[in-house]
Amino acid sequence: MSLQRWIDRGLRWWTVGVYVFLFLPIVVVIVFSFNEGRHVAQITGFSLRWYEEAWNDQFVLRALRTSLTIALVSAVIATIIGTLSAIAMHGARPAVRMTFELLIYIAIIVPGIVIGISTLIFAVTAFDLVNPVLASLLPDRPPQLTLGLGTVIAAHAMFTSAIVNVLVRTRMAGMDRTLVEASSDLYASPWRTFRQVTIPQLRPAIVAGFLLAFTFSFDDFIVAFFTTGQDQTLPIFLFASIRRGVTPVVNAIATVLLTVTISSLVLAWFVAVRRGRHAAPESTGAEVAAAAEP
Amino acid sequence: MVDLRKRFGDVQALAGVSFRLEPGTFYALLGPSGCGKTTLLRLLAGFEQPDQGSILIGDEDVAGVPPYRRPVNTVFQHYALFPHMDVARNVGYGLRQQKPAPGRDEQTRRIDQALELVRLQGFGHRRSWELSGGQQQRVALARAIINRPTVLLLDEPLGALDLKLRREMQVELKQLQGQLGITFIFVTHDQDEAFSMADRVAVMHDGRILQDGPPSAIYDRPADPWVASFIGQMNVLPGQLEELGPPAVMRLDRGPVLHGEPPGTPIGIGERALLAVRPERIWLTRAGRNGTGPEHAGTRFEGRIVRTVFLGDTVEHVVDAPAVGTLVISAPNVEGQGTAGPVMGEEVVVGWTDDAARIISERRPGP
Ligand SMILES: Nc1ncnc2c1ncn2[C@@H]1O[C@H](COP(=O)(O)OP(=O)(O)O)[C@@H](O)[C@H]1O
Ligand SMILES: [Mg+2]
Repeated sequence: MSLQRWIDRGLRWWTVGVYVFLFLPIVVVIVFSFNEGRHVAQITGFSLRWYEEAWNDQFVLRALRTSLTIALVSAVIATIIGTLSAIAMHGARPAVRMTFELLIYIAIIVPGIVIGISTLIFAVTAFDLVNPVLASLLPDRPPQLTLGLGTVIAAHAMFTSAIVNVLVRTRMAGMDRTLVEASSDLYASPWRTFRQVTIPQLRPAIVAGFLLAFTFSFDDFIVAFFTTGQDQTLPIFLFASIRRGVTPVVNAIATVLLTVTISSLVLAWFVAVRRGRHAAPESTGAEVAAAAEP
Repeated sequence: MVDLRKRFGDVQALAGVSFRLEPGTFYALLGPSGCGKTTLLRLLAGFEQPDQGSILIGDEDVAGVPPYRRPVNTVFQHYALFPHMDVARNVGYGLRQQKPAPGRDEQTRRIDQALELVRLQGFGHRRSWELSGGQQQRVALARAIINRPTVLLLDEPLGALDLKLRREMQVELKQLQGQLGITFIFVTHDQDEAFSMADRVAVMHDGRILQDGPPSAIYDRPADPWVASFIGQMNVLPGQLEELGPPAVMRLDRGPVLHGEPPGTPIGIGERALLAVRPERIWLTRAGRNGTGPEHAGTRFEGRIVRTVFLGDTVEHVVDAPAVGTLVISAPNVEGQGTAGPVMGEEVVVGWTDDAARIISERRPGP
């Protein structure tokens, strides 16, 4: 056997090893979330009791509600901002457009921990400045701005609107410009053209962007950890309960988290690739995959 | 429209184009790709603004009027059907934008009527990507004519179709135009298409209209060397004008003095000119026989066949005639010609009558 074949073989097993190392823990979590017994050491039988226990735990439910609220609201905001900014950039002067493009890519590659810390510092500083002003305006019941749902939503929406923006712009670049002209030629005013042609053409990218934004927000730990204040999201709750000691309830919650995330990603990919097929030949699917990477 | 000009950066896409159309004319813009045909249509539709010149539709100057307020509709080169709508919604799109929009029943009626005109009854619920190229083309046409525009612009609408379908659509388009009485401005780079459909043809080159007239005039009396070579095949013999005539007299660079129809454009004695003869107007006989050509033929030369190409309905001979140069001659393939006709290497006599030759000024029409 030649050296080359040995190298090939070695690389192949190395690859397999890497993937096993990456996914084995996840598989273990899923398997043991359905395990009857309390201990990881032995599998005693199939059971949904840990899911039941999680479902009856009001702290788990509250964390789930918090996570869903943050994910939904931030995804809606990100979708609106991301789509509108993409459309605006499409018509902007090249210099402006390139500046924004750069900023958007920076927003995407900045590590979550940096976003988390900087949002935290910004919010705390801003609140320190604004709160005294509010107190002087409304001396009776001064509103106190604090860290909480609002700050997490803002931090998530900032990051995820960049993802939506990239998806929508990719789609726009692949869009047939003559469709807009055809609409205008057939007596549609610019606003009606926008509503009747541009938005429907962009819809797959917008929907995929929404789903990605939702996914990112729902399974984010780092950014939320820094900006959340008192409220616990599901990932943060998970982190806290592990420190108290691992129970199979944690496995059940993690499995739910994983299921929601994966189904949302698959749906986003499906929408971008399948729905986008007839309008823009170069699918947004690759973009979805790329954006899902971090 | 008057003296239209449009420049993209360094490219002068249109360098002064003017024409005026009677309502109901089928007007073809014929020219090679890149000559500015699409640009001209885009100016007419309102997608681009001219750098100079004005466009009048009826009595209205449409400068600055956006496309959605012009009584003009376009059949796009690649159809531009809305992929998120079915055929009926595509066709009815223009109706729905009108203010006030016709009622629902009226819309349905007119959509059905438009689909019937393009022979697509019952296709209303199909999606555009489920249709063949020819069917998509008809949908685009129905979508454009449903609004009864004053002018319909068609940008190489048949370019993507195969030959047979194209011929069918040519006939149908022409019929439709007669039926509707709408002015058609039809862009094409295919001269057969332009000639077979249009009432008037404008030959475009480098952002200009070089010649504008009925198809037969363009073919029989090209006014410009470029038009002469672009339209069909043409033997062109360079020389100098000696007498304006008629018949005009020209001395070829090779020596002989020949007669021809005088040029339609201004030219002075002694100026450079071309003598143009269509291949099918030249007769050819074997040397040493009594010619089949008319005895009074003004011009005859001796030559030798250097190449013969069999084209089915015609046979094309390339003849080297020392007095004038190389001539292309095309003869109808009447019985026996294919095998018993003159063959390569044979000595022949060729000639043409004076009215077959036309003199063309080498001077370009002013800028
Ligand atoms: N938007 C544009 N920007 C720059 N150059 C253009 C643009 N549109 C057309 N041109 C140029 O103008 C010339 C005429 O183009 P066009 O009108 O499309 O020709 P045709 O339709 O006859 O093929 C070409 O040289 C083309 O490259
Ligand atoms: Mg063109």
